[in-house]
Amino acid sequence: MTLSPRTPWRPLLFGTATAVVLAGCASSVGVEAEFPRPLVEPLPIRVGVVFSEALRTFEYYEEIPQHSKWTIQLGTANVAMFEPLFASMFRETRIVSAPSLSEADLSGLDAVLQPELEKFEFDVPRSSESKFVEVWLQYRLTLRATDGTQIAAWPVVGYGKAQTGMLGNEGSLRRAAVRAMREVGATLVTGFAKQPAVGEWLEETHHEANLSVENKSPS
Amino acid sequence: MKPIYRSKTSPRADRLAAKLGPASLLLAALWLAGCGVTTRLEPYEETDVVMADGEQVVVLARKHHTTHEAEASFTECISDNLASGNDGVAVHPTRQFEDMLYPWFEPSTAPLTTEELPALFNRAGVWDRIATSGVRYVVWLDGSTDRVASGGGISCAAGVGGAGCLGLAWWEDDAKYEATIWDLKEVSSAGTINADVTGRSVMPAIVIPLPFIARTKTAACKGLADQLKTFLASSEQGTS
Repeated sequence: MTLSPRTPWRPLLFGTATAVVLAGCASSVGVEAEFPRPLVEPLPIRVGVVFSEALRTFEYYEEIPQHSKWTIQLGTANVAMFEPLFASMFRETRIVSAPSLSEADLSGLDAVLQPELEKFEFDVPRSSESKFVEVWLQYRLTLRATDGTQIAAWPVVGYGKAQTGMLGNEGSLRRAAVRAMREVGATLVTGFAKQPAVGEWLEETHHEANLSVENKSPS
Repeated sequence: MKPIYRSKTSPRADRLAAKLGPASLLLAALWLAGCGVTTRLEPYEETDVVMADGEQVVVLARKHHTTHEAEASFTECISDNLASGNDGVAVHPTRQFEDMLYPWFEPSTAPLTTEELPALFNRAGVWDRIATSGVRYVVWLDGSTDRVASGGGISCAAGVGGAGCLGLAWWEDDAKYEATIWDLKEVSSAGTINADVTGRSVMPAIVIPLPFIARTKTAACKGLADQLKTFLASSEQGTS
């Protein structure tokens, strides 16, 4: 490119255009949403919930070659999803700081549950033919007894997609992520007690609770 | 002295104009004559469903398909059209309904047939919330709008003095949707309405592209909503 002294605005215009194009290729998406409280009967257990720092501040970065760069923040949405979910699933929940706690911290709890976001994948349209943004994510739930022994650990996956259009890729990605997270919530809330190890533990806990009540009741 | 518009286009655009100009004009005229929307709505069978005062309908999209699903914008369009006008019916907001009954209307948990409804209603609080909301009818939307054909092409060129386009592009969209109406009170399927709308759009470009867009999805939405309204409104008339 040759620059003419008669057009001094050209370098400025070129620089601005380049900056605009480059900025347009990098997207930062903060997923924030309100998640509904599930309509379920709570299980008769008291659970401590651990939200790790990694879950609270989860951020995903991916560079799609020759296309775009993405930074996706899911930390706030993680907590916003799990808090009402667990509050509805169990008779009592309490946020605790770590799975291994002092006896005082663990008093009144039957178990400690810790969700972690293990995998996050997404896809955005790269041609005019495709019109959906897709999000796939996998959490791992770990349920521990109050003495720290693991009762069960299992993955829960969710998939969501949203059509691009007025929302643009960023808005559609946000919507697809929320859909995927709602799906995770639905799977978790309907499948928690169906996990074989969880089911066995629930039966034992329930049995022990009944025995405890029988022992306390006046004869 | 050169004409003003020629001085603003590049030599490449000028060459294209010289080569394709008359042909594209003729083609544009031909295609414009053919531009439009063809709608086919299958008539529904009359049923004895009755929508009384205080009862509402909610429009939900089937989301369990991996390849397609009724777009959120289409669901909103149907809801808005059902509620509008003098013959509008009471429509419950989709999101509010899904949130109120979460997680029972998510893609993995939503009932696929009316035979699954009794088990759903037996779950704690589900029927109470439906009854309180006033929702009696669920309209399940299934289908999508897809591009089935496209052709032609437009060439654009830009130079220091300006820019211009020349050519003709066309495309054809097919909107196929099915609306299945469930009567939650009677725990039965009240009917199904199908809409198949094909629309051909053209965009001739003579310096500036001029889009003549066939509003295929909008036509499908309007046609389906009108049919649904008649379906539900005739039931309302049946009660009086």
